[in-house]
Amino acid sequence: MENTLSKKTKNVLTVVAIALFLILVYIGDITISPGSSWKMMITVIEKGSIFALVAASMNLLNGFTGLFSLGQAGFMLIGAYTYAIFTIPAKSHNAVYQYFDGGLIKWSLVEILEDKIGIVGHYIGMLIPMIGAGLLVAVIAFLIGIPVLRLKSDYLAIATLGFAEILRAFFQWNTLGPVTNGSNVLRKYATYDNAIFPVVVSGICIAIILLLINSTYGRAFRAIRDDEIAAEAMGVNLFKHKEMSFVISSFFAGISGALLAMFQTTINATPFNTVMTYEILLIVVIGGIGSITGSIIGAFLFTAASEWWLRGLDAGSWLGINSSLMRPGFRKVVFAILIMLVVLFYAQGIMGSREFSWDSFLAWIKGRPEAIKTWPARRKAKAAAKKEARATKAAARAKAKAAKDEGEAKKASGEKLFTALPVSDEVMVFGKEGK
Amino acid sequence: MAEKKDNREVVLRLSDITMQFGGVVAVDNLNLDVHKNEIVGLIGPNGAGKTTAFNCITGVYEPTNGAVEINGEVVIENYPQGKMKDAYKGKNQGKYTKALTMLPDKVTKLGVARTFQNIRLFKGMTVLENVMVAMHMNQSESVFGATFRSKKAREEEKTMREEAMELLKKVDLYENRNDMATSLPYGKQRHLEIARALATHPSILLLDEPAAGMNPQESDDLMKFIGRIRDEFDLSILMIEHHMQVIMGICEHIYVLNYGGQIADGTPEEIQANSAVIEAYLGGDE
Repeated sequence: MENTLSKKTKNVLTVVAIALFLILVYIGDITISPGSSWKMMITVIEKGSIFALVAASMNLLNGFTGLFSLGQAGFMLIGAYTYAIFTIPAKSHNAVYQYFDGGLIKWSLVEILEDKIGIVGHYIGMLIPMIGAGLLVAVIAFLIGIPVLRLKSDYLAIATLGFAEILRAFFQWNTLGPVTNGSNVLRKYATYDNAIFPVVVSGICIAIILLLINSTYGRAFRAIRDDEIAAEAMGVNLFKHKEMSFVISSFFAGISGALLAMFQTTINATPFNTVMTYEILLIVVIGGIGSITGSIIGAFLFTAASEWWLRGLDAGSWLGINSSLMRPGFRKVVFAILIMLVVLFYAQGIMGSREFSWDSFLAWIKGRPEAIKTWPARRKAKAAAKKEARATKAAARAKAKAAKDEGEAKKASGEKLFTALPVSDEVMVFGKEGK
Repeated sequence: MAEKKDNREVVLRLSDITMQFGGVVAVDNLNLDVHKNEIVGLIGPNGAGKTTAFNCITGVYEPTNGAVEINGEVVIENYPQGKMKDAYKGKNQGKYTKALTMLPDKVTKLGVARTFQNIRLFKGMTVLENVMVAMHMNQSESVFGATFRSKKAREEEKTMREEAMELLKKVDLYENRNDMATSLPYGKQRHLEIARALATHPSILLLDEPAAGMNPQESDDLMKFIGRIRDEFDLSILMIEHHMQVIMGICEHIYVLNYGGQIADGTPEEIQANSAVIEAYLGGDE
């Protein structure tokens, strides 16, 4: 490329872009009044960043290690519950666990640490259960991985999906009620108070995933994805690396589960079902399997479309169009069609397996005016090419038909259809030298 | 069979290797020695069991009976067990009593590297990355250190990169280092596969039909290339090949398989004069 930026410029650009985004999110959350329709944008940023994290963690498995796993919702569930259970304030226990005598755990980590070291303790008290949620999920994933990762492709998907479903039932089990509150919701636990929190946490986690992918271990993961047999023959310990990828991916799924709990302010096992897993998978596929940038873009697009842009379709009026068709549920129909279009026209997803870089971004921006100017010409050329292809195809068909007719004619006249095949090269050479 | 005395030490020895799949004996009692710095050929008509023999050495398959010795140490050994005990059709049942298995990555760590009959490059990676994957097993930094770019990880990555570049220069792929592996022309893909195998620091190299699909000029170049890397990397080479020019031109010793069984072994001259071999290839007098 003729105008590549220096490494320093790129770093500065990245830092400035991130800082600007964070400041906008922070100020936006403070200034936009709750009644404003722009508030929805803040919600999209919060939920989008949480789904970006879980999509990135799923992409680490599916797109970078080639393990088709569908257990992400289950791991998020464990993460969400772990976080919530340890941060419900002591005085709220009786209200939350009303059917279970105030529950088993009567304290909150957030309160304990806040009493000891003040406001800093409040946030540490939130971070510890969040990271603890990730670690617990990682340990469970490690144990599950031992039997499950010996399976391949679809079988692995079925096993992990089944595991996630079992977890959902397990967390709603009444006997565990004093801890999980059975099938009732957990609420009143500590949450963040500015949208910047999930954005920063997700951002850090995604950065770690990116660092991992670009390390020598990430290279080994990609080798397994491309060719298991060859990777093994090159000294990559298959089981160890698959387990590693599975555990790390699950850790981040656990963290995103904790963030989701904070975002929703109440948590219940029911929504962590296969539909949720498919939503995450959809984000990964739309963004591009094997692209973290794609997962992030996909997560925000998906959340914005389903929570914000297409909301009107359910409410009866969208972009000034009023129709009796637009009743609750219609949004999902339009959404399904949109997804089909994306999959049809972006078969590789939005990003394919490419990642964001300033160079390609700037080149893309610079290329836009030119691309728009030449668009009619390109369309004409495309149409012409299509016409030509059709013509060649027709010609080939005609030729094939002629050949067939000729063959039929030969057959009818009793001529020989095939001539004997020549003796292969290797035998000839051997014969010549050997005798 | 003419037994030629070879004073060089044996680096790879297959003893009575038998591989039976259900009722099919794919490799039947194969005995094979590779000496240090020797180039040994393994030939036979299609379906003779050559690649199966390779898979037994590299741990992809567990042989049904027999032992594999690498650098004087028995690392793989097996005997017919379970259902196979009664179904076994091969020879030397009862000669082996231990069950030693080894996964392919461990075999590679012992210094046995291989290439594949149908090229198996890492498609989503560049030429340089393909080679660097093969060096991954030798790095000692943990996944945490590698993720957070510890000093050690950065140093290891740097040496890995430099070593890979060095290797690519030696196999004339340096110019292509940043190309996608699959965008290389066929002949260069073969070279890259060999380079990738060399990156594991092997002492024994197993080549599975390296000249497949090459024209006479290309196979001639490949022959010289194999000879060159043998000297440069101090290798012992066992190769499967169908191109007789390559096999006869480069191998010091040749083993011939047919229907899994070993029908001859000897120097190229002996093999060319062997009537059993000619019969296997050209068909005998009816």
